[in-house]
Amino acid sequence: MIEAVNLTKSFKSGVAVDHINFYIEPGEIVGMLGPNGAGKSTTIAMLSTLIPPTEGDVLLHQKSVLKDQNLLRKVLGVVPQEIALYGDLTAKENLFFFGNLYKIPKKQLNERVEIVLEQIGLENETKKLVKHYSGGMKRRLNIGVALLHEPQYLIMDEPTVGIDPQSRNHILETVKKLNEQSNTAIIYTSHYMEEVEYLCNRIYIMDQGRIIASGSKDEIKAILSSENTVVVKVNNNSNAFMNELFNQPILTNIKADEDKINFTIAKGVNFLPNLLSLCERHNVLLKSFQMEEPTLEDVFLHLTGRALRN
Amino acid sequence: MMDILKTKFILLKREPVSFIVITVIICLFAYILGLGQQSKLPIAVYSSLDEKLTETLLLELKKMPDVDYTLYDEEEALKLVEEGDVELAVHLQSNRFDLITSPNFLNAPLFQSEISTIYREVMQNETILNTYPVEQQGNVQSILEDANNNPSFIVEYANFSNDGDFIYDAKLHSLFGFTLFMVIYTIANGVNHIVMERRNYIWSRLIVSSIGKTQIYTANLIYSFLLGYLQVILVLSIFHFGVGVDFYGGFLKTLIAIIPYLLCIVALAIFVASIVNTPGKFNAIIAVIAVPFAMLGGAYWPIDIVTSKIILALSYISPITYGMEILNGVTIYSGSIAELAQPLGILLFMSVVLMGIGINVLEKKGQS
Repeated sequence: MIEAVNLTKSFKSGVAVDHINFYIEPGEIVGMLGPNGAGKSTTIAMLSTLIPPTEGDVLLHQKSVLKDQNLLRKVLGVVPQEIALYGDLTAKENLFFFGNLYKIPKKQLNERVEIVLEQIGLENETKKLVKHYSGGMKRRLNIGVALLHEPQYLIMDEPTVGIDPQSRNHILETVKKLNEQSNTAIIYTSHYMEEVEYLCNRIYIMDQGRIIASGSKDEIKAILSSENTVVVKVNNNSNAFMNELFNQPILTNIKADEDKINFTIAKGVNFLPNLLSLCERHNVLLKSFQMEEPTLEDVFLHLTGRALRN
Repeated sequence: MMDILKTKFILLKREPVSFIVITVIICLFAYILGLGQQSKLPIAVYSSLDEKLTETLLLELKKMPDVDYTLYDEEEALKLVEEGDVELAVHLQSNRFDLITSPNFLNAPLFQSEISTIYREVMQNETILNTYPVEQQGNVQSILEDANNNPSFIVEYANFSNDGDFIYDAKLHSLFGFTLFMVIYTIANGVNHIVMERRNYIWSRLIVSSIGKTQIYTANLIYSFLLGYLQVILVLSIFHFGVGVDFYGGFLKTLIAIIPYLLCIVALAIFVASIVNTPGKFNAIIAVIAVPFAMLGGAYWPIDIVTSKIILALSYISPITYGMEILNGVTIYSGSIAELAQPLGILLFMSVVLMGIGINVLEKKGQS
């Protein structure tokens, strides 16, 4: 098990990570959610021994890794957010290069390279220089490099940023398979809710350097168990209409995106008649009214007052 | 470590353009500014002597170094002096010679003395030969030549190489100057890998692998050094073996003596890498410091001809100053490595200080 105990990182500009406690057990996928600047990458940098914490400790099986970083490095793979590959090398050359750095014996490395290429679906693209790969292929190879030494723990920092939906699905499936087949524990950071919802057993939500909520998906959603999310679509939306909507005391977390309006409302409250009369008064046409279970996005909005991707 | 080095050289093989371009630029500039220049002083000669004696005298005169004697007719020779194309003309006559000089030519007494010696020897031989019958002149001529080649006394002239006399060899100067200047860019290209790898997180990937930081730094520094050294060996070899530039017997010593300079440039580039965050800024700063260093260090013109005390004082901060001193020392002045301990020591000191600061700052930045 990897544990972060009171992990803190302060820079001249302020505190980036503020006394967080965190753990991941073998075989589980843990999601780390938070907007840009929440402190996710700094936390990951500390967990992967790239930067030392200002305060606190990182433990592997109850042993501090701050003094003996190799203890953790041997069992940890890191997939950085950036494409950390040599563009002028082929996929195979990149894999052999990074594999050699982990001192994997030659024969074993040959086998591992073939297995990893198959895992990431690049077995037929090995001779092309990486600089000629598509964004999705680069991302897949970026993951593959971290798998060469068969790590027990894998940290993936936003591994699907900026790629097409097809490659994204491929990556999500690879992560899922990796966890199921090799029992690799994965820390998955993202600000894509649906990815975290799909992959992760447990979730940590970070904001402004702190963990503001943690638990299983259901536990997190239960934060909003007494409320429903309502999605309303209207035509001829007006400022006056929105102002009146904002003044409704029973509505919370109101968010408007052109003709689409989201808000949360206590379970059991029937707001539809009020909404209809409001629309009539302001000449607004109600196109649809839909009640939904709260999503992680709603929880985040509820906890921080801000949307994740703001 | 070897894996990193091997990979760097594969990357160089795939993208060799900048290495090749810089090598070509050094060769081109060194050739144009050094070998392309007229390094011998042209002197016009016209003669009232017979053809044979004129030829004998001209042959002897041409043995003078750094001077190029060419035979013209009287009118042509005088015109050349008049128009400033040559600064000196020599009129050879049976018992004397006349020097015709341009108004600004100050070395006439020197030439007067040199030509007198040659003239006297040739005329003396000619007089001796003429005292013998024609049929014996061949034998006498060979006796005289033998006496010349095996004199009873050997007189040697020597001076101290460190007595402050400035010797200028345009070919070597431009070759050394441009090599030392341009190799800064080649080494910087190697060190720029560190900046790029830190920026695109390859560096982080290396750090979290099983390889130690010391090995990562060492591999990168060795690569940058070898890149520069390879270029220097290539350029100097082309000029020594290909073009035939005279290294005064110090070619191998040059290749050894340049090592501290290259180490210093690697350290300088590491220092620059530590204070910038992007490859673009790194290249900009290297460009900004390399040119003044070349000017102050005497890469473009000999620092010995500079009289400004400020420029001379500033020249001490340029590694090129010491590089030029060392390379001139082991070639033109035939100095030993031990005699050049001071500039070598200064370069090594600069290397240690710049490398120490650079790596420390890089590490501190990596942790913030």
